[in-house]
Amino acid sequence: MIGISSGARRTPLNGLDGRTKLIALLTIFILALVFSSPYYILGLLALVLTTWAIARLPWKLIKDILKFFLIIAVIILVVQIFFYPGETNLFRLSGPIGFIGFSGYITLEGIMFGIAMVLRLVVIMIVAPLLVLTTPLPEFMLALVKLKVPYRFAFIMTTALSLLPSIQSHSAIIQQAQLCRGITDFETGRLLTKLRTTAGLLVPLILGTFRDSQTLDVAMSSRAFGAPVKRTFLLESHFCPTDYIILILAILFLLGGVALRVLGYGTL
Amino acid sequence: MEPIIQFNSVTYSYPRTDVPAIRDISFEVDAGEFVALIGPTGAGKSTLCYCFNGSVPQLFSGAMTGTVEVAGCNTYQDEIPVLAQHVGLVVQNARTQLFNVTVLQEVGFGCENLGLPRNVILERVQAALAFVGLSGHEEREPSALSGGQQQRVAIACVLAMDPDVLVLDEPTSELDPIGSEQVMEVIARMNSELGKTIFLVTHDMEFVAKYATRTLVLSDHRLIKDGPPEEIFSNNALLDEARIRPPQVCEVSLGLRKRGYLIPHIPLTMNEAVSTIKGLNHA
Repeated sequence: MIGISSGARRTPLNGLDGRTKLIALLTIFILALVFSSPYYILGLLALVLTTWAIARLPWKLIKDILKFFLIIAVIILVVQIFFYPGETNLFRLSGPIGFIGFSGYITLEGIMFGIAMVLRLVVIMIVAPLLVLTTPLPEFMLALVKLKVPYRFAFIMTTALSLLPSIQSHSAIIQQAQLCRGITDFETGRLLTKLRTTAGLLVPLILGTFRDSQTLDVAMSSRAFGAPVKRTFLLESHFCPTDYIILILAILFLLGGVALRVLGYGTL
Repeated sequence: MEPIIQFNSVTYSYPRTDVPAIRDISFEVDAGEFVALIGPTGAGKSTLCYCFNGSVPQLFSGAMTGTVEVAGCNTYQDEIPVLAQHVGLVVQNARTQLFNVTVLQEVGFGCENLGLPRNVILERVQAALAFVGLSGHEEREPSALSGGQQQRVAIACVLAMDPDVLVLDEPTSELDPIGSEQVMEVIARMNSELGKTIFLVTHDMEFVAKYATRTLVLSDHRLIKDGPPEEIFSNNALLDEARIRPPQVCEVSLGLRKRGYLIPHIPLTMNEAVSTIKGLNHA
């Protein structure tokens, strides 16, 4: 049921308040979007990887995430290399192709911007697990509520996350049942066959999930969810000195990053 | 004394259907009673359960006529969170009604929603878990528990809110015999020790015979009989109509009666059956 949360995993980041981690994550997000220089974003990536090492999260996970986004990254890189309006021409590839906006030259700025975009994607993709894998869902929800996110929204968000493993196991059961009836084209077979078997899996999965969500709705309502009173939270969270240090650093980084950008640094 | 549950001519149809799931249901239950609702699958038992806390019609919408009053609240007018303080509902599938990360948070969820002080919540959670025999499981994941334990957690969840009435919709349908026995024992104690009014839907006739003080029979969406278990289980025509198989001790006695033996009262328990059959031998 928890799957998404850290569960039994104990890392140095577990001791931090959820708000601290959320604010630090947002800071990295914003800085990754503010800078367009690959060197600055590389700096952010180094910071994220160091935090990853401190959190003692498995490196294999980064490999899996990158593998998943490899095609998108290649597309981004190619598109920027070809279409970024750079000034330093490196070599001529063809004549100008006006209707697709290609000048015919590969430029240094295009390559740099392409690399920056890919690094930005990598930073954004691997910074999220740092929060998700080191923060149990209840703490994450409490952090959202304390940051003034409406409780109902925070609850729906965290409950949806907590239900993912359940949906996964439901999907495995349906696949198993279909395998028993001779459907084996989940991974192999032609594209059309694969699409057909996937639809055969999705329909019962979605219907089952809807049915379960209705039961969940009844169960939640039966336990006074949405009662018009100020809710109590069993879980408590307090800032520790490390939280304050990280928060101050995050604010300094953010302000410093924005100031550098305003002064013209961090761009191509 | 005013009854704690009042159903007055309740008819309800789910949205996009003309066939009512329950028709013209009327009955009253006094505080502290242990009522069992029995009947074949598809008779409308779960729908009837959803009427107690206002899920029907507030969550499911659809068309409802008649009124349901529980502990002085009208299920049509009072909102579900208000009703939840008076009536606890435990549904059939334990897995889908548990959605928190630890047992402690799961059981405390209802009290948190009611805005009770933190120390009161912790006391109530401990008491509810102790009552269902799950003390020491506070930090475990609900999904990692056995089916019987999950269902007991689900019961603890509503028990912690201290409602007057507990409605349990086939709580043992997915459990093994030992898990079922443990859950049923908890339900019986909620009635005998805590004085809670119990409304239980079950196919376990042995349990109905053993604990229920009153039995309602639902068949073809209508309430066809309301009486003590002994009266229900000695009525062959009724049992056939509602496709109910009585407890084995009752079956033996009914079989003997069919063969011409004089059995004035159908026994409900093994001890009663032994006495009855011994009496026959002596005769």
